[in-house]
Amino acid sequence: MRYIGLPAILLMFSFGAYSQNTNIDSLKKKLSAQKADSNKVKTLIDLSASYQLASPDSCLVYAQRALTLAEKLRYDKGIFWSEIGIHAALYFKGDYPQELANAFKALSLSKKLSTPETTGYANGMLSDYYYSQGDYNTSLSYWREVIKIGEKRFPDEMLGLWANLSKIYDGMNMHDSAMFYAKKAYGKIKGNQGWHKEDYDVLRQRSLISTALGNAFAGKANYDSAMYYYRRGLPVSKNIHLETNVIDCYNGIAAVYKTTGKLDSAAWYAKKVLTAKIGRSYPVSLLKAANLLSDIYELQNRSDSTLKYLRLAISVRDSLFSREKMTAVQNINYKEQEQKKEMEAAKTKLQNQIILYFLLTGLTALLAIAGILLRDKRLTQLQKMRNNIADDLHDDIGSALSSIGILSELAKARSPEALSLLSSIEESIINIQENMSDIVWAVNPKNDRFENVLQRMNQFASEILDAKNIELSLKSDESLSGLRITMEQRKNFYLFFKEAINNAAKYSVAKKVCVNIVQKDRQVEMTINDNGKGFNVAEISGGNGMGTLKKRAAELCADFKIQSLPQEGTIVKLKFKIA
Amino acid sequence: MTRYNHIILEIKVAIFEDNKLLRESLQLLVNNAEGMACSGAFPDANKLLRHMQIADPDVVMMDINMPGISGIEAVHLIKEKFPHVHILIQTVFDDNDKIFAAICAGASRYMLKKTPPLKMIEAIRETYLGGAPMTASVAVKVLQMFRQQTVKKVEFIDLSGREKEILALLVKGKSYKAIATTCFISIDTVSTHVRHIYEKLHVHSKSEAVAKAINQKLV
Repeated sequence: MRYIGLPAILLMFSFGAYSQNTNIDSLKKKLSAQKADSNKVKTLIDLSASYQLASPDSCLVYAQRALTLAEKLRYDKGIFWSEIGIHAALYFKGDYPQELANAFKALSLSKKLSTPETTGYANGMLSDYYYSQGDYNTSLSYWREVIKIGEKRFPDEMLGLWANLSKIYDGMNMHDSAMFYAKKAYGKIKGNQGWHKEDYDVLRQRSLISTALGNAFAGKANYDSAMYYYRRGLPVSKNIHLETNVIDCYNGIAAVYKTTGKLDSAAWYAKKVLTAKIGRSYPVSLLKAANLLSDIYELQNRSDSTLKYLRLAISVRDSLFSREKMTAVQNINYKEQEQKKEMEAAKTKLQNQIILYFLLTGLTALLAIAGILLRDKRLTQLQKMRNNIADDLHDDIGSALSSIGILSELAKARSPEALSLLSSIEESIINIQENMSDIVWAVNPKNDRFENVLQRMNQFASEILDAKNIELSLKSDESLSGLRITMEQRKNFYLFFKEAINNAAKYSVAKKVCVNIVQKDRQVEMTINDNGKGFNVAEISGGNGMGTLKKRAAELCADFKIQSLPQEGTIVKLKFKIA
Repeated sequence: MTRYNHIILEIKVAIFEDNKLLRESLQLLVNNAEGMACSGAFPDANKLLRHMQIADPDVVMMDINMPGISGIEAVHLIKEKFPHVHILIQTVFDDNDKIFAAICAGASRYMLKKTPPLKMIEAIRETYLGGAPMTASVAVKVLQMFRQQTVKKVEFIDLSGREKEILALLVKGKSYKAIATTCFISIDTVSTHVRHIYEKLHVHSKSEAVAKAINQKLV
C-alpha cells in the first residue's frame, strides 16, 4: 500500500514486502486474528494507509498502534514504516510542522536499516519538507540522494524522480534545468507508450510530469504550453488526490492568468489554493498564492483586499521564518546526534580492534603455553610410567627378599648345621634390601631438600648407634633445611655418612658420636667425631672401609679428611659444594 | 584395648598381602612363632569385612600397596567396624606420606618389609600389647599436623605440654630409652604418652579437612 498523499515527491517507493490489499474490512478481519508479531505490524500499517484520505485521524491512530507494537518487538523495519505512516497522517491533518523530528528519526532509522527503499524514502521525506518550506537548495541536496538510489535500483521510477527534480529546479528559478528534466521525463513516458494507460502508477507519473512541464514552460514564459499542461494535469491530480500537484497547478494557472491579464480568473485559482486542506503543510504554496492575490488586488486598486492578502503573506512568511529557525535548530541537533553515533561507532570499532588484538596475542600465548604444558605432561607421564614400573619392580623384589629372609630364618630353626650358611644368606638379603631402600629413597624427587637427607641420616644413625648403646648427637645448621640437593649428591652424601657411622659403630667402641653439619655460601661441611679408641690412619688407608669413603667423597668432588690417633677417637671431615 | 592382665594364649593374626610368596612365608613365620597363629591370609582387602569376620584376628598385618581397596582405606574400615583390632601396616617403601596417612587412619605401627623376621614377630607381640612406637619421621609429621590446626575449629585438640616435649624429642630421633632418661620418667610412661598422642591424632585426623589434606598429599 502506498502512501499516496505524501508530497508528490515520495510516491516512488513501495513498502516492499507489504501487501497491496486495500480492502479495509478484510484488513480489519485479518488484524483481529493476528498475534502480536511483525505481521500484525504490517497489517496495521496497511490499515493506516487505507484511511489516509477518508480519515486522517484513523490513519494516525493505526500508524501509532503500528509504531508501538513495532517498537515493542524491536522490529526496525516496522518502526520505520510506522513513522512514515505517522508522517503522512499528520501531513493530511495539516499538522505537518511537528514532523521534522519525525523525518530526521526516519533518516536515522534508514541509516540503520540501510536498504535502498528506506534510505530513498527518508531522504525523499526530508527533501520534500525543505521543498514545502521553500528551501530549495537543501531540498535539492536530499533529492540528489534519492536520484542516486533511483538510478541504481529503481530505474522504472526515474520518470517521477526527474519530474520532481524539475520542480525543485523550477523553485530555484533554474528554468533551463527544470525544462531539461521535465522533457526528459515526458520523453520517456511517451516512449513507453504509457501516457494513456490507466493504472495508478502511470496516472501518478502523468500528474507529476504535467505539473513539472507546466512550471517549466511558465518559467520559460511559454504560457500557452504551460497552461496546456496545467490543464491536462489538473484533473489527473485531482482524481488521484495528489493535493500538492493540484495546488501547484492552481498556483501555476493563477500565475499564468495574472501574467496574461486575466485577473479575475487568476484570483479565483489563487483563492482555491488558500482553501486547500493541506495548506498548512505546504506553506510556500500559501505564500505564493497570497502574494499573487495581493498583487492582483493592487493592480485592481482594491486596497483592502490588497492589505488583507499582504498581511496573510507576511504571517505565512513569519511562520516560515520561525519554522526556518526551528528547522535549523533541529538540523543541528540531528547532525550532533549523528556525529555522536559515529564517534561511538568508531570507538566501539577501535575497542573491538584492540580486543581482537589482545585476544589474538592471548590466544597465541595460550597455544604456546598449551604446547609447553602438553610436552611437560608427556614427559611427566613418561616419568610417572617409569616410576610406576620401578615401584612395582621394587615391590616385587622387596617382597621376594623379605620372604627369602623369613624362610631362611625358619630354616635356621630346623637345620642348626646350616646356621652359618643361612646367616650368610640373611646378610646378603639384608644388604640388598638396604641398598634398594637407599636407592629408592635417593631417586624419589620428593626428597630433594636437605632436611629429607638429615632426617634419614638421623633415623639411620640413631638405630645403628642405639643398638650399640652409643649416644648420638646430630646437629645441623637451620639454613641447611631448605636447600635443594641433587639426586647424585644426596645419594653420595648419605652413603658417605652411612659408611662413617657404620665404621664408628663397628670399630670405635665409643660412648658418643657427634655429628655436626654447617653450611656457608652453599659450602657444606660435616664433622663426625667419636670418643672411641681411634685407629692408625696410615694402616687402614688401603682397606675397604676407606675405599667407600674415598669413593663417595670423590663423587662429591669433596675435601675429605680423617684424623685419628689411637685412644683419642676419630674425626672425619667432609666439605663439598652444593650444586 | 590392651590385655595386660589376661593370660595370652594365642594372638590371632590376619595377613593381607598381595605377593603370594611373601604371604605364604609370613603365614609360616607367624604359625611357627610362640604364642601366635595365623587365622587368615588374604591377597587383597576387597572382601574385607567378610574376611575379618572369618579370621576374627587380634592383630592385622596389612600391606599398603594392594590392588583394589587400598591398604589405608582398609585400615579405616577395620578401625570402624573392629576397633579393638591392632593394625600393623607393611610397606616396601619409606613413603612417609602414605605411612602417616595409615597411622592417622588408625594403624598402630608400620613395618618396612626389610625388617628382619625376628623383629617382625617382636613387633606383632608389642603391638598386641599396646606398644606403639613412634619413629622420628612419623613424629615430625605429627608435629606438623598439630601445628597446622586452626583455633577456629570446634574439634581443636591440643597436645599437652608433656606430650609436646616428648614429641620434640622423638623428632630428634631419640629412642624411648633416651627420652625416659632425659625427662626423668619411665619408659612405660613414655609409651603411655605416645599412646595418648596417637589417640589424639586419630580423633583429630577424623575431621574432614584433615582427611582431605592427607588424601591430597597421597594423590
